[in-house]
Amino acid sequence: MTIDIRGLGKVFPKGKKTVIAIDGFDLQVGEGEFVCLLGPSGCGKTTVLRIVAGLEEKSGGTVEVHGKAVVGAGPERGMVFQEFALFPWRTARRNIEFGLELKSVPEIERRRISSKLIDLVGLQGFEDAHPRELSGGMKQRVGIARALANEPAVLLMDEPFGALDAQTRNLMQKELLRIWSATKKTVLFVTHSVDEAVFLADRIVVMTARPGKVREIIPVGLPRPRDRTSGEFIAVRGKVLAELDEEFEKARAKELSPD
Amino acid sequence: MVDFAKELRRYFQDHWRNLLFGLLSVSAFLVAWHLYSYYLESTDSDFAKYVPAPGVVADAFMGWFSDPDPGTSVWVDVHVVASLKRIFLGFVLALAVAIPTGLLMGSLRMADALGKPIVEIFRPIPPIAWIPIFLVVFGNWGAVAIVFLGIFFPILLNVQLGVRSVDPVLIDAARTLGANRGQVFTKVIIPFLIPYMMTGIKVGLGVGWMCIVAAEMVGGSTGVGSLIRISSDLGLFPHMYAAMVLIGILSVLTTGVAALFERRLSKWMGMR
Repeated sequence: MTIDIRGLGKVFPKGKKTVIAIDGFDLQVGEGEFVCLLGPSGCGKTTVLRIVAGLEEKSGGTVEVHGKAVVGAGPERGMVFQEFALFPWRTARRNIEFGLELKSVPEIERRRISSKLIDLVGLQGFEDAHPRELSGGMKQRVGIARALANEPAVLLMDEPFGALDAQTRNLMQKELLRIWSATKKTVLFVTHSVDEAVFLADRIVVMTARPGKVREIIPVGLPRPRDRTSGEFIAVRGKVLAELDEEFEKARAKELSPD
Repeated sequence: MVDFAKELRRYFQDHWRNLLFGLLSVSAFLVAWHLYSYYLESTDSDFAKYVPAPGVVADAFMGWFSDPDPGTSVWVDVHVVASLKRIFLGFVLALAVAIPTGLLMGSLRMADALGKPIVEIFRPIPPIAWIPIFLVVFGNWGAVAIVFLGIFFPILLNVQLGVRSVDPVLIDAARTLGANRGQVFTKVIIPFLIPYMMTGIKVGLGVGWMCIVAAEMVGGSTGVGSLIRISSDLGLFPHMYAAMVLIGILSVLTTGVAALFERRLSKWMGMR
């Protein structure tokens, strides 16, 4: 099992009260699998991802990656951020090489690895551009290449295409699948878009409203490349949407009558 | 060189109106000054010697290139170097103390709680107010100490602001890429801070010139501030005005160097 999450819990202090954000979240992700976390906003899907990344402490349960308990952030778990989180003072290439620099990989080797990744993610010609000169889609290509440079066991993606326009978003989804099949990474991908989840995932984890746990795991089971207009695609989409709608309603009801 | 000439020509093409108006206002000022000085002279006013004509001041200024200064009997570059040295020393000392202090106060709540009252008490006091005591306590280093005080606070506050402005997602990204605490500091926080530091440095330089001239006017025999005081004591008013012009030029030059450095730096860092 690449990612093994059992009985995960997370409690936030909020003023004098405590908020239970996640309670009893279980998920196992296999080697090379592409899993999407989907849920109403505030359900804690990003928190789950950040706990797996080691950016946030869990309050209970166990999180293991390749049989090793997660303690703090580390290069074996690459992360891609919605905000891109590129270092503005570094060129695309030097952003990609950041993790290698930290490990003191010699410059020639760094160059070789970054060149390979630049080819892989389709950044040829933009190696020496700074982030502010790049479009959103190009920025996220850098973000993905930068995470891949460390050769992580898993790729954690936090709504990576959430800041992109619809066209770029569709293109980047196809690009991600291409990169994924080329690198065979295990991917845990957070999104609030049903369409995106059905297009990308092997399995979709629908989360409940707060406190977040797994409501249902829906295997997509469609061959790739998927056609968004096909009957099967729409059928899966409808099923996921129905599950999600109920949770949206619950989340809304909770918002209207706070405890 | 060709590039430079091209750039210069473009600059003139884009800005000739501003340059023209700038020239107009400066000329108008010089004419008014000249007329006033001429008027005082022609009415045999006692005041005339205090307001020499711009041409006379220019002669005094140009005289420094061919002869030692008549008031202080040394070449004028001795004064310029003396002031620059003090500014530079005060500047380096201020950087050396303000940057670590700003980093600490920006990142540790306890350091901020400890430092803030001291900073808030001393910051509003004009550095010039310390001149009498500093000249006694620090002797030759008094002027340097004044400059230090003037430059210290702008740099401190900007560094502190910079540390607090670091985008947390950049730190998250660095951590998931394998950065430890030290690497987060050297590879994320420090580069992030550089533009803030440059702002502090530019503000500090302006304050620095104010401080150095004031300190040298009170005590000492070298430096452009002393040049003003000694010229005025000896009744060499054209040289006093020329020294004021000299300070203006020096201040513009140092600020220009800092701005150039900043542009190079931010270009190199890809911020511009």
